[in-house]
Amino acid sequence: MIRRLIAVFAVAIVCLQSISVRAETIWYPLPKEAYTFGTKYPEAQKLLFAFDYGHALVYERLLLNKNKITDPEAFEQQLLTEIMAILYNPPSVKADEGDIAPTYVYQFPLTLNLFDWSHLLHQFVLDVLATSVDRGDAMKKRVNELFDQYKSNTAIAITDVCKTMLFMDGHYFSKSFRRQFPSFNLLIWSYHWFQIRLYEALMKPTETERNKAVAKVTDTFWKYLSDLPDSAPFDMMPETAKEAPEFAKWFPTIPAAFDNNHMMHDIVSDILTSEKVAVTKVRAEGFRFARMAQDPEAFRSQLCGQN
Amino acid sequence: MKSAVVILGVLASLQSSRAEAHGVSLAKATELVLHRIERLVILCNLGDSTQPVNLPSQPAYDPSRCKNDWSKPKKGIEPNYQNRLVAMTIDLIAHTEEEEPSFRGVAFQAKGPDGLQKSVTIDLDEEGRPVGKEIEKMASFSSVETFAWPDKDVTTLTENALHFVLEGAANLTLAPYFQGLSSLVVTPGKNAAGELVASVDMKISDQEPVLRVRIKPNGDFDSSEIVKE
Repeated sequence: MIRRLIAVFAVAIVCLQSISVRAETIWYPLPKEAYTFGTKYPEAQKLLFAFDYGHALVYERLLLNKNKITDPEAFEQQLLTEIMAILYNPPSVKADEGDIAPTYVYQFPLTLNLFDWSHLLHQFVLDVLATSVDRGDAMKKRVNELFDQYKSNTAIAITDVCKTMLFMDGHYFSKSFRRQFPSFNLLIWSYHWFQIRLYEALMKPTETERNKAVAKVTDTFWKYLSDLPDSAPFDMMPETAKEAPEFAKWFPTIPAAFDNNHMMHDIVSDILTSEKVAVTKVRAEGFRFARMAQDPEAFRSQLCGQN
Repeated sequence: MKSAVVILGVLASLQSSRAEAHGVSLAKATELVLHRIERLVILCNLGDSTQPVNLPSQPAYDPSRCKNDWSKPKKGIEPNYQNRLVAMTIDLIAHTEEEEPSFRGVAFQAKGPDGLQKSVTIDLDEEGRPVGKEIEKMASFSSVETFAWPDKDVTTLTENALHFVLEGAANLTLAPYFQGLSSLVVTPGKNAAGELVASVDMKISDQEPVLRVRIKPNGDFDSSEIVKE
């Protein structure tokens, strides 16, 4: 009898393990197009790697100095100097956030996985758009395959259901980062604009047009950074459907997944900046808002891409 | 009830001619003007060497006033546009080119101790992007007194009220205000439980009912109603 019970339990455990949700940010198998965007457009690719580095660095610095910054202007200036140095001399591979920002990685483990998984989708979509020989249905099908694979990892996929701006701006800590560090905030919104506009550039029908468009986006990005905060035109976070309308027409639900990712980045910045969030509450708030980013019903908008 | 629905439907169709440019409605344009105000306040610098320096690094830094860094030029608008906002108007502007001003938003502060009311005018193009420089002048629109909101600032409360309207664009009751908003006034009020709320009264015209959206001081939506005046 006991042996039978043990056998039943053993089988049950094996079955549960095989159906349990996995949360690794390992895209398997790696798409055949992976990182080919970088082969065609190395400067733009390195900037994307630099953005990941920059995000991690600013989060680490904000965390380590949380509720202790007495001179926000000086803090921002120092951080901007360091980040600009990375942007001018960007890495040629993606840096491991654990090496740059161990405190951030510890405090935001779920958020980090959400970001990493989302950034993989960002990358692989760029790879397909940059290199697909077919510019029609086959390309569309391939991007949608990747999107389906992204969504299938439900443990760490940010929802592709539109959220209202209140997801980003409707909390007790909201807007803290942009008010205390306006230049850095505009740098981050410029990063996000750059990412989004690359998709639109890669929707051009010919390779010559795509090359020209990517160069123009890169050039405009540097102009936006030339004299922060005045040089960056954003009053609000850039939205994918507005900045990349052709891309949004072809892939109507990917924009929301990207926008929700970008809003989550701003949420983390606000949690780390606001004095209303105690240091002891940071980790819990990180989990709470990461779950909201995954929840299709949280701050659900009725009007995707229309407002 | 049926007649109210019919009236609102007629209003919705009448307002479509005033409604929007290039997919940006008047309510959306108002929201974008608020975002612009927020940015201009964040960037505010007096650049006046006749007044004391006011910077975050200084012990006497006063965040309710513009920074005053003598080494940088004057820019932005004073924080009172964010903290003492009491009313806004929004209008479509006739234009021929997309990049020309297509919307004109005016935001009014509460009257100061001198009885004067400051206003700032911000123009937007067809896509809702700011055009030209903001213009400040003394004006008169609303006699609403200033109020010390205990949590979120009044521009954020107003923005959240507009989000309710933007999300309700397909709703028959809200659609006329989404399309045809012409002005709003923000006053302290009470909700059904007697708690403090910001009452954001939105108008299409003087002849039509007011949409009142109540927002809690923390920015959460409270309630809304159509008020027949």
